[in-house]
Amino acid sequence: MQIEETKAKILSWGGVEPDFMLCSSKLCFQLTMTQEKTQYFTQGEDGKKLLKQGPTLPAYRGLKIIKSKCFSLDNGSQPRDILRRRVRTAEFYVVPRMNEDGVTVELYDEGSDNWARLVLPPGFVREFNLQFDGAYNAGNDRPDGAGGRVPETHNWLLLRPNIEHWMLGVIIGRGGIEHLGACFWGQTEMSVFDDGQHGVWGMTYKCIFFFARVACLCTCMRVRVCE
Amino acid sequence: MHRVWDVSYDGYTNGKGVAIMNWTPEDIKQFKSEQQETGNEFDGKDIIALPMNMPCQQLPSPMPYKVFSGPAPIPQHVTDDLSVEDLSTFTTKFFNKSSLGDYQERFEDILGKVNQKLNIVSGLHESRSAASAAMANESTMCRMFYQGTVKYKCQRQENFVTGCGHHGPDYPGVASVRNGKTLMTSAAPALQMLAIK
Repeated sequence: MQIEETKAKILSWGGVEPDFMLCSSKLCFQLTMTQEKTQYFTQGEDGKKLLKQGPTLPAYRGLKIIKSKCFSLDNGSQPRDILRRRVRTAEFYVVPRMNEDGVTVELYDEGSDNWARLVLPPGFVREFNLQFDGAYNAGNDRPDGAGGRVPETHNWLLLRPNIEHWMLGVIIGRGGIEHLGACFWGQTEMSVFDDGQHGVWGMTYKCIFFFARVACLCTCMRVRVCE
Repeated sequence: MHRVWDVSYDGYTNGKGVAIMNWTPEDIKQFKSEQQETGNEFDGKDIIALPMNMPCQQLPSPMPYKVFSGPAPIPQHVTDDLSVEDLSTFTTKFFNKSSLGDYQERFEDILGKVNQKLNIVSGLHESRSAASAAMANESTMCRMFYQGTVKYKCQRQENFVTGCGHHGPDYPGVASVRNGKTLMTSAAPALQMLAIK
């Protein structure tokens, strides 16, 4: 869906049909490890070849697949694929008053891959009231419109504001010179630095490409630690 | 070229456990610290419990972050250059669909004060775009609160509320929509700066 939507979006902007998709190799796993592509026994000789070579994905929905690579971006840490990133999402739940007898609440715990019963920390309601001057834990009856009062249901709100997981992204575009035009090198700039005290040297390099239809500025930076 | 973020789910890190934050000053301080540390994987308490005594049994989903931050405009970045400034209409629709009634003012008041203490929604978080966060190895937060799945028993009666399910049958496209990225469809094309190695 995202691919087709992106194609349509590029066309609606006056662009041309994209012909490549740059994505993480992990995304290719997810696309190749489908039931259709791994039923080796039902495909005869082709199945044997497929088992030997492994399912490959040279193209998908008309787009040539280019696998992204990991780059050493931060000193002292593992190389990273910048099409893979961490994202935090959030959920809420409305539940009955959890401090009452006879009320139990269970949520899915993804770490243990199971449902788990929630247990309030000791003195939870007291600490909450201390933080909010006791204003929010009182009974909450409301007028019934006829001079009396009716009890309301008393529900709590639970928030899980930092559910964090990894997500993959893709870059979809058009390559080659047919539509983009020839490439000309523009003004370049390179500077080298050397930090003898910490044994670090490196360089920054900037160049500007001029295309017939697009212009982009790229900055490359290399840092190496002398051994 | 068109860069599409978050087309596929690729594994759980943290934050979907069952540890409840206590409202002690120490717990609050630790939670804020862990939440603001977007450069590392989240390692704080998972759940904020609010004994609010709400009259309603459910809320519309998703719940926008504006209910926490109040009328102060905090833009939500959708690309490097563009941000959604006006979520007021969406927030108004949320309250119109809710059955909070007279409780709405109190609801907003409580969540605003909770946000002052915990900084759940801050300008710092919202101003980080996906591209710059990915380069800096930081996580981003798109503050849409979705209804989660929950089981509870009350007066011997068992209830099961089916949520939106961030980690249900994810496939390319759906995960990003659940993640609040539908906002991106309103973004106009923009020339992006792309680092190439």
